[in-house]
Amino acid sequence: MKWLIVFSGLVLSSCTQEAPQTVTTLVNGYGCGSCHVIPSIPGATGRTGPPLQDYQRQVYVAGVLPNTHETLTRFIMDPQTVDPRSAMPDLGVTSDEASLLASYLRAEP
Amino acid sequence: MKRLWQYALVAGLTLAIAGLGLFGFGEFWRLSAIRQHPGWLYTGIVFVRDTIIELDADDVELPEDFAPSADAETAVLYQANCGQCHGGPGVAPGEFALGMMPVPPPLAGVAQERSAKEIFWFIRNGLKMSGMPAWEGRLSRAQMLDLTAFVTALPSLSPVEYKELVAGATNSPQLPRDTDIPARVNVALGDAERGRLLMRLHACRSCHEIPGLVGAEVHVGPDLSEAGSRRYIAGVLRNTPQNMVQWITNPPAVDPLTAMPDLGVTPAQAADMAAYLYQLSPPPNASKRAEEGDQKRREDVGNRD
Repeated sequence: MKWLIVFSGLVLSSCTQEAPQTVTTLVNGYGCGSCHVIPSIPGATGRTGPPLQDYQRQVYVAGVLPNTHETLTRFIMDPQTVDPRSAMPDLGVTSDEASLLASYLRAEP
Repeated sequence: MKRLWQYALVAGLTLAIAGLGLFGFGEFWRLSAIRQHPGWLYTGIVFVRDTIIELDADDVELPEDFAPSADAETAVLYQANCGQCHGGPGVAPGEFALGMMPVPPPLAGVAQERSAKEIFWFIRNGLKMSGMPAWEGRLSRAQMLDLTAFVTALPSLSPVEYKELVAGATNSPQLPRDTDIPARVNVALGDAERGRLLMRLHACRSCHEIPGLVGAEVHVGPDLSEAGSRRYIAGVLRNTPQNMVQWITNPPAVDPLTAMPDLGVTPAQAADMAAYLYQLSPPPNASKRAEEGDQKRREDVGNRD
């Protein structure tokens, strides 16, 4: 079963995927790509923060909270409520936008 | 008849050579727990193990109302019986466990990859030649089920919540000890190769993927192949050799919320590890200006408390 998932993942990823337009617009608008590598977003190649591929497999958000849609949304909206010491800036992302971005990052490939 | 003997001889010789080859190239003659298996052998063992356990665990019967749950009572049971080897979110395993081969994996990562049935199977049966004991006969079935529920809930627990649970009745979370910033260590003198061995011996590979160390695919901590080049360490400190040593030496002192435990690494050992990380990927241009900015940042962090 596991192999089937891995295999279908490989097949899917070999097709050229494009991020939904709404996500691309948000990512470009907030400049997420200047700090992070983000899958399927051209130009998102930053190396300041961690790469965000395969995010749904990460156990922790920002190394401090369990990785759920809710915690990731909260971290994108207001990083300092998750970890006051985080270097990730508060970019004023609204909750709807953050939720959309979190869903995109946490989507299975 | 003669031909049959020839076939048998060839077959026998082939088997013998294959066996010798496996023994030799698989480094079965290296019995030290410091040495890892070669990568290909590790992959093979993992493949066989996981295939068999997937089949075996199919027969496990869980109660119908089974669900992940983390209560204080089971947390204490976990910390006493499992945490010594596996650690918990933000809590390091016991000193001895870091010297084991294979190193007991962090269970938050395991729980994300395996079914509850498989987890119960591991708890009940243990795993031959891995150091994982069978708890059958030592813990009741109810306790093993509680532990299974607890382990499956681990990925949803933050390090702070876990520590609060274990502290349990007293309700006083064990806050990480606050130590001084380690004395200045000359990171330039760190020995990358020794650092690689030290990372292996401190079980860094259990949570992080690290080029040059063999292990499972894990997503508990970040992949460290480019950690040396990142601008920030743990998303909190600017990436300088000095900060890298400080972080590795005592992560909770840098960020009390972090899931990375204090593994008792000395500053000198951390300098070796940092040297290895910077060998894997070069540091960002660590200018003097950056060091100064960092000093300011550290003060800012202090002021925020």
